[in-house]
Amino acid sequence: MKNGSISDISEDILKGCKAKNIKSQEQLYRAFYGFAMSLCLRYCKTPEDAREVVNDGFLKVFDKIHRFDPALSFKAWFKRILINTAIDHYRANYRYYQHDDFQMASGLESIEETPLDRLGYEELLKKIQLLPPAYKLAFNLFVIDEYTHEEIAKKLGISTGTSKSNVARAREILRKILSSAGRVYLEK
Amino acid sequence: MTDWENIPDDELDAILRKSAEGHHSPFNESEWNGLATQLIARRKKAGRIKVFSYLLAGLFVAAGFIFFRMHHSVPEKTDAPKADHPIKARETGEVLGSDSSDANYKPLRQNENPVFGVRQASDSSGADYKPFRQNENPVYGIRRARETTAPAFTSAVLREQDASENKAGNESRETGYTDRRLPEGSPVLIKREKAKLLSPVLHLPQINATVTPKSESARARQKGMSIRLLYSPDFSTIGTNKIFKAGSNAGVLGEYRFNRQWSVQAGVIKSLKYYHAYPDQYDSPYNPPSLKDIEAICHMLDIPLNLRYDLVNTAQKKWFVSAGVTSYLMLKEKYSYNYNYDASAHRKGWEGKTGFHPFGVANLSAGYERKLFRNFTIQAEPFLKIPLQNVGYGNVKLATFGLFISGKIELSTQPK
Repeated sequence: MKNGSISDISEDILKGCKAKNIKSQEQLYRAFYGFAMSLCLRYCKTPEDAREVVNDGFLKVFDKIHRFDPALSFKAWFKRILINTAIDHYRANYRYYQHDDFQMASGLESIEETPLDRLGYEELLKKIQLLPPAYKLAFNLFVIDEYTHEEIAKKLGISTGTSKSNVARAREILRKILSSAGRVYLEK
Repeated sequence: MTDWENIPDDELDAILRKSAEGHHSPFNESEWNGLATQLIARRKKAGRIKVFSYLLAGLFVAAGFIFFRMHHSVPEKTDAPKADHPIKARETGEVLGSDSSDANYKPLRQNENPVFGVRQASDSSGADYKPFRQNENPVYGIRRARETTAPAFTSAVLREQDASENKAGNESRETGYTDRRLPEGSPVLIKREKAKLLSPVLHLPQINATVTPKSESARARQKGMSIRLLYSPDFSTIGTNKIFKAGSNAGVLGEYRFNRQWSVQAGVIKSLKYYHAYPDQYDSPYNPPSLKDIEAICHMLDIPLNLRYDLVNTAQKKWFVSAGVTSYLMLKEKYSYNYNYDASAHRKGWEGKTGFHPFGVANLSAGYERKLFRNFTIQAEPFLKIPLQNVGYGNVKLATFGLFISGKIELSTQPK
């Protein structure tokens, strides 16, 4: 991705989307669906949730495409939208997730030991899904998407200390998951 | 073998970040089809919102115009030359009796015929105008006016007219004014109206009546604004699904009556609806295969715009039918999901609001209205709301029925 270029989105698609042309919108969707789904699967609890966030994200993009600056990267702009949508989704469904955290984690088998250089996306996803939602959110934002603790605190409405603590707890749990030979038991 | 227990933070982060990079999930054709349907629905909705906005703006303008007309009645005689003789009044259509401070006031002489004004005014064509014969009874209306609406009318005029009345004999007193003496085609006026029409000719300051053709006069009597407060139980369903709980509707409607039959209604109703949906009826982005059914609780504003037609319209009762459209503004929606098996990984529901759904529902109703007091009526109105568009988070076709019980206050005091 190059800054200062529009290499990650064609000018025709951009023009068409601004004119609310459905063909252009489909082209954009096809081009960025995989990227969006991969990102949302990390943030959401289930594939159904991820699909919902992806579609909501695309709807926001189609609505606000005129605000996009073609001099910047579309992917970076879209990523911010997706993450914000995932956070909104997490807030909206928080109460429904709370009860399942411990139950779900305690019922899963541990992952088999994996060589350092062979940890694939699917395996990473499985491990991340074992984290409690608040830890998963902070971990994704800080470690994978490289937000600062200040930004995370602002986005989630928590203190930077809580953000740091959540990331640290997430790492601790992931270490246990990766190294455990038996069942994994997580505490909230 | 990696020592995961003791791996440093930055190394662990780097491994996990690397795993996440560059992965793209495979494209799913059905996902795009779902989104395309949503996009088209949103476009249609945007169009309906635009129409609704124009309609609302039009209603405000119309309401403002009506309000202005009600509170700033324009004197109709301003442009017409003043008629100093009843004949002129007929020719010019001058409003009579509105000038209570007429400096030229003179009591009628005995031979003057005060009925000219009545006949001329009520005869809009004027083609077959004939003056009354001297012995015809023009005074009846004056007596009625004195008895009913002009308590201060005790001048010499009355004495003169009483004398004239005595000449007319008993017949006219007992039978009243006979309309067969009027030219054919003339409007038939009731006695009180005749009194009002006569009084201006005699310059009675107590009676403010305008002499207008009958049709115009009748229309004026039937116009007016009223306010309705209403309540109803709410039974909402999708198709023939079970109704698991009754909701409620409570609101306020403004009503403007154009004439004896037609009126228009608009307002706001706070509505609480409970309904039950099956997955094939509930079209949300989240619809896993194990979903059994959905129970919904929706708080919304129902914004109706109805046209009412009165089948029977008497002073005491009215039978009517009404039809129109409703727009929903969702305030709070809560959907509880039930699954076929214990699916703890799935969502238990959804909460939020999906905003405005313009013209999503057609209203049909019929009812009975009964007058209780001078400006207050009650009415019972069974109703049915038929879905035209999908509404809510689950895009459901929601039908509603119930029975509105309402009290109506007439704001304008024009007689009916």
